[in-house]
Amino acid sequence: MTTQLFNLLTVAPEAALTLGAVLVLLIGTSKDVRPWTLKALTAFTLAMTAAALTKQALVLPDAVTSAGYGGMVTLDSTSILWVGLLYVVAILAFVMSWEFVEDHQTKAPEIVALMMLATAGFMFMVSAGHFMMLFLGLEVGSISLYILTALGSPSKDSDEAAMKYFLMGSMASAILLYGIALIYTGTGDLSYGGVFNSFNTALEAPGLILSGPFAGHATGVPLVAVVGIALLLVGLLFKVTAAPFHFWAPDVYQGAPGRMVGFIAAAAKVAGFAAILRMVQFPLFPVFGKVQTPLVAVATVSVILGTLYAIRQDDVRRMLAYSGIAHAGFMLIGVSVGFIDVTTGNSGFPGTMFYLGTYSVTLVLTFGLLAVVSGDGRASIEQFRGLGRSSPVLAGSISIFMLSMSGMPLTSGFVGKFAVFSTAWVAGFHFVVVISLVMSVAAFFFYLRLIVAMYFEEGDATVSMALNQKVVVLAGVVMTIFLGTYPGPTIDFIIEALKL
Amino acid sequence: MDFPILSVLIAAPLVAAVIVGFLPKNRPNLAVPVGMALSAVPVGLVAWLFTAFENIGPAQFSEGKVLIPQLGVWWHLAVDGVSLPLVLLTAVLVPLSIGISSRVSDNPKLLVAMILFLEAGMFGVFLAFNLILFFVFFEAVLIPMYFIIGIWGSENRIYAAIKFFLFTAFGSAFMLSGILYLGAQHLATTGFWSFEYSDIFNSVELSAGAEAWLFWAFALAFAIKVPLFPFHTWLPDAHVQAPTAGSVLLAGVMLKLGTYGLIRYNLVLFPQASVDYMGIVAVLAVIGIVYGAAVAIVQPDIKKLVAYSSVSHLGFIVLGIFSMTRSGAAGAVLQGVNHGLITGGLFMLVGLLYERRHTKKIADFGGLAKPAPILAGVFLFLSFASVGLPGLAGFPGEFLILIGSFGTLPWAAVIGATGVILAAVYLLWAYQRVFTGEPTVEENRAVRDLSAGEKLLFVPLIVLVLVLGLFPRILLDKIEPSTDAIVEYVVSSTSGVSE
Repeated sequence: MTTQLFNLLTVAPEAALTLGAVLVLLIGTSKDVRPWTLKALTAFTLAMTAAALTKQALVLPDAVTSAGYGGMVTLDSTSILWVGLLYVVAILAFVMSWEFVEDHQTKAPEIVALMMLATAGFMFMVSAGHFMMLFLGLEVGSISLYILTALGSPSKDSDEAAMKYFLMGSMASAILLYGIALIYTGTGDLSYGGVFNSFNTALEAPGLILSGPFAGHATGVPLVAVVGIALLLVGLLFKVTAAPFHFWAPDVYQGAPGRMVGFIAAAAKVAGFAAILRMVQFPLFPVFGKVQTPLVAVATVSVILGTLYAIRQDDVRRMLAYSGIAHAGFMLIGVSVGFIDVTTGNSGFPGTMFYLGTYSVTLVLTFGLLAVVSGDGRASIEQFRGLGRSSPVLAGSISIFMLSMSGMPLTSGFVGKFAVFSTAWVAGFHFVVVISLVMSVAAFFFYLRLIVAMYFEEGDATVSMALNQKVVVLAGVVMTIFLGTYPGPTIDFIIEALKL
Repeated sequence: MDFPILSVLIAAPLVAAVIVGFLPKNRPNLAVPVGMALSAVPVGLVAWLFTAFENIGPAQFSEGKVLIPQLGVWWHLAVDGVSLPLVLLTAVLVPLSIGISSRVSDNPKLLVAMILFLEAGMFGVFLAFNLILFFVFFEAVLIPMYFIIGIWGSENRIYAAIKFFLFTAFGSAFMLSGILYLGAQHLATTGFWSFEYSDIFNSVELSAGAEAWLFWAFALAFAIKVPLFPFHTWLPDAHVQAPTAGSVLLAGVMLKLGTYGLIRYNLVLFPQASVDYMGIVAVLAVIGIVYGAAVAIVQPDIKKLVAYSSVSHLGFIVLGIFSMTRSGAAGAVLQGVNHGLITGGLFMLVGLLYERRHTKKIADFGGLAKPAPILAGVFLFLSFASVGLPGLAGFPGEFLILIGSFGTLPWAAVIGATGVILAAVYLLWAYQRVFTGEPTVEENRAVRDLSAGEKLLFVPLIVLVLVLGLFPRILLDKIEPSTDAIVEYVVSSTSGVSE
């Protein structure tokens, strides 16, 4: 690993986005600016970010892992996947919610800048090599999301959602920060590598406690660090809406402006899961056995609770919030298999990453499509009646995304679930897998409700989609079916990036 | 490997569905004729397959390409004597079910496309030789059928569509966990994942307890699909609410996905458990035979009557499979084809009756033979075939099943045979109430007879019913090498069956 004080390449995408956000704020707020300037600036920034990502990817094979800014940020084949996924989520969100930006003429630059900053923050979070960086990235991203949630103001729903999100999110961040502090107390280090080494030493060459009631016992991993790990994970599990830390999600998804919620939901989920996976892969790897059982428990509770509550919902965004809790559970099953089982070589990571990638893209696009129908207000099922006739492209795409989320074969959702369940089965979580399969069937009940409303019920809803929205949605549909029928190369690619 | 005939067979309906989807919007009448013409392609392919098929036990025309190497998922297709007849049945029934939909006014393009998607999925189920690929097709056929029932069904269609979907998906969840177990066992024995049928057959050793659990996990999925008593409750709802094309394909082909799965997977992969539990399954099958027939007798609704007759007939097929005898298994496959042709035809007739009179109540009909003699004649012909009149298609299959099951499960054969008598009761009594006598209601005098186009739809059915009734050897020669091999394998690798 090469550690440098200044290595601009390691933060190139984040830097491009941040600079873009600054430019947007500087130029865009002027009253003389024409509407297309903002569009051009956004496109320019996204193009620069893409260029930065490409450069990183091209350099990567030479410098296997490089760390910049004294190890604060790392660039390796896994982090680049996460940053890339966040970039895809952001670009889809920009396309799907551009009308929202244009409708808020005076606020438009702020919205664009906040989306860019949120993305940059989360990118820092997933490529961090140090716990402080993790926290800073998380806060930059989260605070941007709180404000984006409040953009529907003065609607009561939006105000309430933003307030709830802010209060609970700050609480979760505080818990996470406290966890980091305790980990520091237990290990004396905050860089991922230092924490890893400290845990490894404690486990491999345990010393003996010299005095006190436990004199003569092996020291092992200090209890304070274990508590710290637990609090750290609680903070991250909050971000990915795992039960029982999910209470904010339904209100936020329902109350946030409909055209913005796809970004709010997907970006937080990707960042949270990427951070959890990175923790499990690197700093917490030696002590993973201690968190495995709690993770499985959280996963199972999330799957059951998310599915059962989703069945009862009449608001589509609320329903997708609960289904997202169940999805968090499915992915956590993959996480709890662990990075690698040294004896069998079984890894839960490729399946989980495939799942997360396909799910987050589906989520952004689905919320975008829902907003095409219901705008920023509540999205009740009745609004979708008859769309199968009047808007076949929109209804067909929503149906395919719903089927993918439900895990129907021939869609990427099935491959993700299948990959996660197969490794979980080998890891011995038979009971959890069977429960999850049964819950997947129960989930058909609510995923199909939307299809029923669009195709089977009479209605006169009509909507129109912008051309660029149609293009990205159809690209998403093609990817969903392609990855559902021929996922081999993609999974290979992920395995290679993980160096398994 | 030269020409990938089986992949082409699956691709042909998919391409056809896309073509139908791109037909001009302002010419909705084009959908049905174009769909019929395009669905003739699979018929031709299957006909070629039928002639090129060698009468040997192992699977032929095998072709494969790895899809997910990390998990051992292959695109692996092959055909043997168990699947060939069912592929043939599918290819024959699809054009007919498209043809019978010519009076659908609501978005016929989408309906035809859905039927063609369904055809591709059903081919896939019968041809897949990789467990995951099989599962994918097994689940995928739910979607088009769900739409067919939900969009073009009668008043209670949404309830029926969801019930159909959830019932089948529920069973599949347990099967998928069973499939995962088998793949993981393969990983444990050989060190790599594989869901290949032959790999699992050859390398996976199961403990007795695991085999029993797996047997039931698979059997539950297939029993719901068949449907075996007491998992049949979705079937009357789905059949009655489905449009005619849906009923034809549901009864004709989709129920056979279950019986096919029982032979291909339960018997071969879990032979000891199959023998251990053959009695329990046979009891359920016999209950299904008698119960289905008894309920059919008292049905006031003619479509429901045909639906319950399917429960009864499918009971025979399951009984044949679990008799663990050569004639029972061969008869079961043959009867699968026969039932598909006969019941498919009956559903088509019921659909035509509904088009003419807008009712399915038997009491509303009466004396229809006067204004519609040909319709009545075809109904009577198919009823006789369904009852099992010698010389017609229903006879050889049921006869083989009864002979076979009498050897190992005599009590089941004896009770099951009453199903044949009950079939005569419900079908002929229904014929009598619907067609004979003087027309009681004025509308019944004005019922149109079959039009020329409708007659044409029944010609292939009648010809096949006669041919298979008189010369069942045509199919049995292809079926028997495969079913014999399966039954011999089951009997030789286990203890406890005496033929």
